[in-house]
Amino acid sequence: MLVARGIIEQRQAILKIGFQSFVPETYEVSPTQPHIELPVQEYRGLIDTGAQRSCLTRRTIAIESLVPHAKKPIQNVNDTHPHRLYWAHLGFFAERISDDGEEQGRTYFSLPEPVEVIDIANNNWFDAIIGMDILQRYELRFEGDGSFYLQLA
Amino acid sequence: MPQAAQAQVDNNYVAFEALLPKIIKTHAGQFALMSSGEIVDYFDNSLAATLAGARRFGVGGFSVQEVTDQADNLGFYSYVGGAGDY
Repeated sequence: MLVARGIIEQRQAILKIGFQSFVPETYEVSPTQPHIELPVQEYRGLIDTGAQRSCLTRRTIAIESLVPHAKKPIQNVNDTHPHRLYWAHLGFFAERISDDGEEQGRTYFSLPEPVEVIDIANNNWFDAIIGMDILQRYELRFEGDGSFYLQLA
Repeated sequence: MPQAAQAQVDNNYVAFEALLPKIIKTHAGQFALMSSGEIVDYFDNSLAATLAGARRFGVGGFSVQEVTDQADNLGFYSYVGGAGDY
């Protein structure tokens, strides 16, 4: 199986992720993984089952030179504000695990389709929020020792 | 490019908000492809609308708006007010 392992930091579940820009002119609907340009820069993703959508900080969006394609109202505790949306190819730094639990190497797993992410304010703890639009596709398991994993395949 | 795309997205959003009360009656749940403040077509999903927009107008020359009056919720980050605004 293929798993992305994360750790709990200050009671927040953090996972190493990568992003690459989405180029719609060259995109074709295909069951194969998208073309990956290595190396992929590593970012910190917060696992958030309360978020309906995944998000990127504006700093990360600027680094990856993402171009907005939409705008949507986002609710917060006080009010509702419009935020821009961006397409991006999201991936996980993952481990291949054999049936008897042995690690068989590391790889980068890119989601087969681009993800529509929302821009959020910068912060000192994470670069992205991994929301339920992505989490609902995989098995998420907390191990009780300060670690967790997302089973990707 | 990002500045031009942002202006296109922002201007289309203002136009979309004015159109929403009318189009939500007939196009709720669809995705409007917009360019220069006008809706040019509707699609069943955002990616299909984006691909069509890129072919027709080029990246930065269009935007996509979901026909809905519902806001999204960002969970923890929403409730601490950290999503920020413009």
